[in-house]
Amino acid sequence: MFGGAKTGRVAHMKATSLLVSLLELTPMMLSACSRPAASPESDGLSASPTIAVTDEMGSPHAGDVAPDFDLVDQTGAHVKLSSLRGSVVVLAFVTSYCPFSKAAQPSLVEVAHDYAPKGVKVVAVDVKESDEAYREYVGRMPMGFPVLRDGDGAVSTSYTPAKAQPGVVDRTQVVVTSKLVIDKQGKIRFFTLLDTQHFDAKLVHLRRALDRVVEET
Amino acid sequence: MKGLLGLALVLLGCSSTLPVWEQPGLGGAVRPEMGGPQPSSLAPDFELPADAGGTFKLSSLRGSWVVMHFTASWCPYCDSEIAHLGEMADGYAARGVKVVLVDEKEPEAHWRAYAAGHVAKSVVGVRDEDGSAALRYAPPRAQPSFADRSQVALDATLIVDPEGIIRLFLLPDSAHFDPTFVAVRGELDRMLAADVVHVALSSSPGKALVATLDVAPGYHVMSHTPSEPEYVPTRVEADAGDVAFGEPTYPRGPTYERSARVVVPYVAPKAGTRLVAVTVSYQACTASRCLFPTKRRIEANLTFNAGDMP
Repeated sequence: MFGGAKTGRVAHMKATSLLVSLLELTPMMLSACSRPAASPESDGLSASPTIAVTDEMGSPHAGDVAPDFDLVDQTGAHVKLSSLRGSVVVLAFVTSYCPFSKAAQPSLVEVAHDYAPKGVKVVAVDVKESDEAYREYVGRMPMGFPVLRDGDGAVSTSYTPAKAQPGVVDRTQVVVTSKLVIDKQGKIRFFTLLDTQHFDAKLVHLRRALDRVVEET
Repeated sequence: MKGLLGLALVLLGCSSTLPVWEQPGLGGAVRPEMGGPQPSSLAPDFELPADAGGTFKLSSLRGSWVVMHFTASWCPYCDSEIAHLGEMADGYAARGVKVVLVDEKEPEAHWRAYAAGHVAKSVVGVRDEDGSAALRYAPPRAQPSFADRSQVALDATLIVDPEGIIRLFLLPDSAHFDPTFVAVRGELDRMLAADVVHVALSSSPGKALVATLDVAPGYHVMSHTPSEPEYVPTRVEADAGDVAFGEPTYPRGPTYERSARVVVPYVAPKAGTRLVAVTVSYQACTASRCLFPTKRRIEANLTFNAGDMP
C-alpha cells in the first residue's frame, strides 16, 4: 500500500546530501538572516553599499600597486598609467553594451570635470569591444578624458582578482563598471565591482573616496 | 554534524519569516515600491518569434509551471548562467516545467549564432528584437538611472505558475550572483512540492484530529519511519491554544503513496470550534529524484470534543 517493496530502489535525497546542500547555502543564509555588513575598504569608506574588492578575492586589491599598462585612446595617443604618478587617478572600466556602464557614463564625465581643478586624472578602459562598439561609447558624449581600448581584454584581466565574482565565466568581464582610485604613489585605494542591487549611477561612493585621497596631500 | 544541521535548520526557519528579498539568494526580488509587475499578478503576455520557428505565446503554457529568463549574448552574467538554465530545463522536464529564454534586442542572426552553441534544446528560446516584451517586465521604479527601460528586465528570472500568475520575480543581484540558480530551484521545488502533496485537516468522530496527505501520482513521500535514518521523515505537529495534543499515529511502511492519514489524539478542556494550525514536514520524490524537503503550515477551524484521550 505504501510502497514498502520499492524502498531499496528509490533514490531518496539522503540527509547527508541534504546537509551538503544546506552547507552550500549557509553563507547566503547568514547574509540573509542578519543584515549583511558593508564590505570593508582599506580607507574606512565602509558606509559604501557597493561591492568592494577585498584582500580575500586576490590581487589586485586596495593597497597594491596598480598594474601598469600602455594603451591607445580615442585620439590615437598612448597613455601609460605609470606616467601619471604624482596625480590621483580614477580608473573606470566601461563597455558600450552594459546598461549600468551607460547609465554611469554622464556621471563619470562630471567627476572628471569637477575634480580636474584638484589635479585628478580620469582614465577609462573600454573592455574587449569591437571597433564599432568602442566608437559608440566614445561617440555618445564629449568625454573630456582618455577612453583607452583594451581590445583583447589583457589589461582588464590584469585587474581581475581571481576570486572576484567566481560565477562569471568570461573573466575579462568581471571588472566591467569597476571604479578605482589610485593615489599619487600609484597605489590602489578604492576598488569596487558592479552592485546591481545598490547601483550607484551618480558615483557618490567614488566621489567620497576621491575626496579623502585628494585631501591627503 | 548534528550541530551544523541544527544551524542550517535554524537558518531555514529564519528565512521563512523574512520578506522574500531578504531570503538566501533572493536579494534581487522586486520590491512592492518598484511598481508592477509583482508576484501574485498575472504575467504580462507576449507573442514573439521562436527560435524553433513560428511564434510563441507565453499564455500557451497555461497549465505548466514556467521558469522565464531574460538574456542577451553580450551580457556576461547571462552568459555565465545559460548552460545552467539548460540543465534546469532538462532536470525539470519530467515534472512538466518549461524554461523560456527571452533574448533582448539583438539582431536575429547574431542571436542565432550564439544560441546554436549555448542554448540547450530543452529551452524554449524566443526573440524580443525591439524589447517590447522585456519592457512589460520592467517595474517603473527599478533601476531609475536606466534610460532604456527594457534593459531593467535583462538577466531577470521569473517563476510563473500553471494559472499564469507570477510567483517569483528576481532582478539581477550581482552581490550574490548565483549562476546555477540554487535559490530559484529551491523556490521552484517548494512550489512544486506544495502542488504535489495536498494536505486536508478534519476531526475524527472520537477525540482526534486527522491530517490527510494526498500525494500526486508518480510521487511518494518518506514515511514517519523511513528505511534509512538519513532520510527526511514525514512529521505532523498541531497547535490549537488550550488543546493538548498527543503523539500522532502514522501509517506504517517506509514511504507513503497516493494517500496517508495521520491521526493526532487530543484533550480539549471544553467542546467547541477552534482554529487549529498544523505543520506538516515531508519530502516528495519521484522514482528518480527528490524535491527539496518542505515544511507547510495549514490552518482550519475544527470542532473539538471534550474529555480524555481515547
